[in-house]
Amino acid sequence: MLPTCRHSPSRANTCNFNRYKRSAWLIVLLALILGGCASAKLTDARREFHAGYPTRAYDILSKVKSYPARDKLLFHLEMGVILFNLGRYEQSTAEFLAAARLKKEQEIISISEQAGSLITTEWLTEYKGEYGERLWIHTYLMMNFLLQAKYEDALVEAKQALELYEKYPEVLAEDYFTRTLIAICYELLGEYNDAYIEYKSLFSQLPDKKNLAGELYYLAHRLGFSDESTQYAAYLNKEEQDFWQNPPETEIVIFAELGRAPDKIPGNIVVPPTIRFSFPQYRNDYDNDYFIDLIHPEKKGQISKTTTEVREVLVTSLEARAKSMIVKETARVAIKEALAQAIEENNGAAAGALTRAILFLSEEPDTRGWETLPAEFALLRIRLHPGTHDLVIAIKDYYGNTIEKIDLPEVKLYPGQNFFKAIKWPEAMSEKVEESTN
Amino acid sequence: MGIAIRLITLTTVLIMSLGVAGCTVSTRTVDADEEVVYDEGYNFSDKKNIVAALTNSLLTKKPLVSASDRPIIVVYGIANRTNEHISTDGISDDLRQALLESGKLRFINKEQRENIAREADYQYGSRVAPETRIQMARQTGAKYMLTGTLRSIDKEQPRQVRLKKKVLKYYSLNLELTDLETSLIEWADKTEVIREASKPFIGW
Repeated sequence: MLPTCRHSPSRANTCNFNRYKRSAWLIVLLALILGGCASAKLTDARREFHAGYPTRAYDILSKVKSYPARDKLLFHLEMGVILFNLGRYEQSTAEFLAAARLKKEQEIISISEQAGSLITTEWLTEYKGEYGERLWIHTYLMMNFLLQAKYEDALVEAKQALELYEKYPEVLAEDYFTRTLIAICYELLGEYNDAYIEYKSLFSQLPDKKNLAGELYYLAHRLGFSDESTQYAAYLNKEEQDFWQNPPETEIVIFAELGRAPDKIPGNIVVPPTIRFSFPQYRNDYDNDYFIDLIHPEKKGQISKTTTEVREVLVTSLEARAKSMIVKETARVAIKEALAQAIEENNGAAAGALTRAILFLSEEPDTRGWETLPAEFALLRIRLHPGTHDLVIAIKDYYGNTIEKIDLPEVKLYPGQNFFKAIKWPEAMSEKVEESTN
Repeated sequence: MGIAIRLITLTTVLIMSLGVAGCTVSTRTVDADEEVVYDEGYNFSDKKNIVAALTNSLLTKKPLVSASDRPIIVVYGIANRTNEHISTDGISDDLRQALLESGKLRFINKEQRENIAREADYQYGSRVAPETRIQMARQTGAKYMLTGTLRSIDKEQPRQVRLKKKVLKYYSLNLELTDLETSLIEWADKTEVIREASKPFIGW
């Protein structure tokens, strides 16, 4: 029988060392489990989704009985996008509504969670989403409701999105797509003045103002703001002005998800020998500069386009959190160093060095994020007269070269009807092959 | 060391007991008249109060208070202009129910129009005895149209260092009775609910 630590004073130091070693390994193990294994299903689903297999991605996530608390928001977000791309708008809505509810619950800061993350890693905390991601919950909900012709519900989401714009104005300023959706929601329910206010706010921020000048010119006329309408007329030629004075009240609106949003990667600053500051950052070594255009029918000046560069908003969102991240990171580094010094004093240099090494390794930045987001949200509005229409959309690169042409199914527009259609590029081409072979 | 271990064990047992107690399911049946409010948001007690106030106003004011011919009303939906997903159909259903119970009005069953047409078509098929068929073109036209809008305004305390924040929520339901022949609004009223809630910033 081996002598125990309690009854053998000669072994006390070794036992103390072993105890700390065990605890330290437990911390590492815990960090690894929490950081990696729990999100394995998410990783698999994302991989399938990006490979063009949303059905497989859905199958993976639908097998998860209950979403783990720390990543619950991410599960809802990824599942919401997958279902959206499968055209299951009602189910997608349910996921995003659950995400919106969770977002509200997460407004209460958990002391135990924050304290735990101060001596371990940020991975221990519940993922709350970057500011931009929080806004896009409502963006997807608006799109889902519009695609289901539930305009009143879409307006509810528009109002919730507006609350976020008011809360984080600078961070979300470049999300032109969501702001256009908000204006559309108001317009659909006849709230023209509110729609006008949203368009005006957008107009002041948009780099390419001509895209929105027609809509504003039309609404200013409709609301009797003749002095303001002349301001927008300056952006339109005679033919365009004639068109926008009395445009058809039927329109086709295309929501496009283009490319893939950048994921977060770890950034590190190491202060030798063992102090490590870690922080998340967005990857920027990717090429995702695309836009959509209408090839057929030719309606120059009668369409409006709005694009949101997702990366821009994400980077600004992360920068807005930078101050609080630096404060917390500094506190964590200080606490970890104090812990290592205490262990070194009581148990010797070896125990101290080992603790430092373990704490150094556990200092892993939280790189969690919503990974099924597109690189760009693009919106194309085409005012058309009632009748049957064939539409051909072009996906173009930064230089204006057409990469792909997408033929949309024939659309029959009735008087006063709004037709909404969601497209994704690259399309889930492999999914079609998979379906046809089954 | 022994005391420390005992303390840790005791704390663990205490936390686990609290956890188990917290997980116990408990239910109670709530009386329909009881006011239950969990947060600042719209709830079923609000619907009850709103319907009671507006029904009373509609029945005790002109033109319905002096109407002796049980005028016919068609209820169009109540538009939801709040920032919450509220089923306003529930409000219009309850309003119609309360007004019907007064015995002073009659209502067009607008929601069942398609089914009524389908049933009429069926009766005029080959399966129904002619003498039992309903008479066509005998539906009654409404004299008035009842419409409404539910609105809300939110106010939050500005961001500053504190443990709780106050949220103020204002709801108003406007109802209008329009004479379908003249397009004149013959009656309009509103009822309001204003609620303040205090929410913690920090939790365990």
